[in-house]
Amino acid sequence: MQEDIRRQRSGQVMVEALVGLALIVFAWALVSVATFMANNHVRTLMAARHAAWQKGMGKTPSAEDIEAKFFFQGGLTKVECGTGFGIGDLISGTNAADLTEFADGGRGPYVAKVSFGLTAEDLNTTTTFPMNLMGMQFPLMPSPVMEEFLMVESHCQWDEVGETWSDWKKALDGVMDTLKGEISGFLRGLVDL
Amino acid sequence: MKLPGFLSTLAGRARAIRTDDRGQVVLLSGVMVFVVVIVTIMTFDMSKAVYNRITAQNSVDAAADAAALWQARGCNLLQHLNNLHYKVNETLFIAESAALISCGVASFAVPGETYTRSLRTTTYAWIWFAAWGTANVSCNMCYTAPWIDWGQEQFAKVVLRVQDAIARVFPVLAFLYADVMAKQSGADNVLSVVFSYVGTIVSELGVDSSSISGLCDELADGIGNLPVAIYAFPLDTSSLKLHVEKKEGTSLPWKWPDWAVSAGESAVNTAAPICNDDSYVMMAGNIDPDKPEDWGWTDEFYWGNPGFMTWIAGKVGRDEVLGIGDLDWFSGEDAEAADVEKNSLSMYAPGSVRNGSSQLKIPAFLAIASSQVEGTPVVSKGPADARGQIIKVYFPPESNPKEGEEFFIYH
Repeated sequence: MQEDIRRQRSGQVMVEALVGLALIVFAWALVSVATFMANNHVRTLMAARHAAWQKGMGKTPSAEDIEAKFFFQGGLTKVECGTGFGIGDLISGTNAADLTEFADGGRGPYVAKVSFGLTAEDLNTTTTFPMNLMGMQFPLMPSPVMEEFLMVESHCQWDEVGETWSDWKKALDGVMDTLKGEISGFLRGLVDL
Repeated sequence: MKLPGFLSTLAGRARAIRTDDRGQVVLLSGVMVFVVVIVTIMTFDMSKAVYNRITAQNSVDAAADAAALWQARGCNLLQHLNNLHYKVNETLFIAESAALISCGVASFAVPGETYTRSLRTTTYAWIWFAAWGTANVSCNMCYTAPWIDWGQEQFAKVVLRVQDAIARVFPVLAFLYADVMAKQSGADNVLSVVFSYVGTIVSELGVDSSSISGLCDELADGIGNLPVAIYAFPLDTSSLKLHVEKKEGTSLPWKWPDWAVSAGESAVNTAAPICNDDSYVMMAGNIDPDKPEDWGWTDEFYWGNPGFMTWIAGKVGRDEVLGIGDLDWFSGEDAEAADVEKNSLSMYAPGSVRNGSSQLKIPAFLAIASSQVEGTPVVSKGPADARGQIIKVYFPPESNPKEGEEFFIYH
């Protein structure tokens, strides 16, 4: 009887159903992750815009604030802000998207990058949800590769809209800062060319 | 009839496939997986479309806000210089008036000193001394009058030149900073974007676009390879101007009253020969009544305020599924404001308008945004409180906002 079960009709249907179910579950998981990350990718873009605008208005965007406004999951959001590109950089072809570190020059325009998900560091420490539940590495999936699937990020640049040079001192400082910043940006652009 | 061997085998297998139901569940599952995978791809694609749409809107909003900021900064600089000009004119008017009054006093004090010179050796020497002192002070103060007038004229020239430069340079800065904001927020070359959508726009107008689309796509590719790129562009380039102009002052301290000019000129003309000729008056130099071309001044100051601007930016990549980008909701119409601070988010505006007329449909990835400078206009003397604002989208040139018209402000 044991050797006949695979040849019997009921056994055949069961095996096929299990294979089919496994396929569907796999596809369902894939769709769920894809939808979740795609949705959050769009959210990072809106969050980056908000963070850049906040910075431009003279506030410092916090990850907690951004997370509360734009995301459903906690502890997975990172916000980085820095000095963005000026008109001198128009000729260089450099792009805020290429930035890995943000320098803070103290003046605008500002660029903000919002990321959501797990970084390679998170995966290695296994302390972040949901890795803390598993405490394992995926086979054939080193952390940097995994990061591409589990983290989305966007950036946005906004000018220093909160500083309108409404008093003399700020106006003079602003003119000097702009001149210095743009000349150095222009030179940097020439060097990059 | 008996079939040959191989045909008999094939017929047997065909009969078996028709009657054997093994493998059907796997087949069904495979179909379902295929459907699910297609849905996954569409999810990615739609996400990409939404992402591009928001990138385009972010870029154009950042551009419009930056342009309004630089216009506002230009206006504030002009206002600071107007205020400085006003203050300097006010101070120099008082100083020059005092100097010209001194000329009048000198006209009496110098002859008085001559008249009382004989008292120098008497007990009434103090009378001569007082006359001598008054003559010296008044003549020397009178001596400063032409110089004050000349200095004011030079100052006014410099200030107006600087203001002229500001009025010319800041629209350029507004354009360049808008451009860099759009670029760094993810926009593509706006000329490529526009050409890539010409076909769509033309077909919206009911014209056969098949021949035009190919040419425009070629142009879009060619423009994309140019070394210089523009990432955001104002629909009306004249809106970049600060729209300020020089205006002649009609009252003090911008303009001297005619009677004051005549009185001052007479006082200097009278005092100059008297003070210059008297050896008892210790002058720093000779009073030169011809030094100023015109006594007093009639100055100009900058006046006005920028209008609104409507900017365009976008994304070339239009890889969404089944024309999602053409859906009304996707173009921003009927969208609800998000529950975040209403912070320059023109993307949440309930649609673009043409001054109350029908809504204009635009392709989804061709984003537009309007902005304007708000606050006190540039005036002869006032607060430098201009600031940039993103406003509800308006299309130039027929839709200039009218005075008193309600604006939907997002800041």
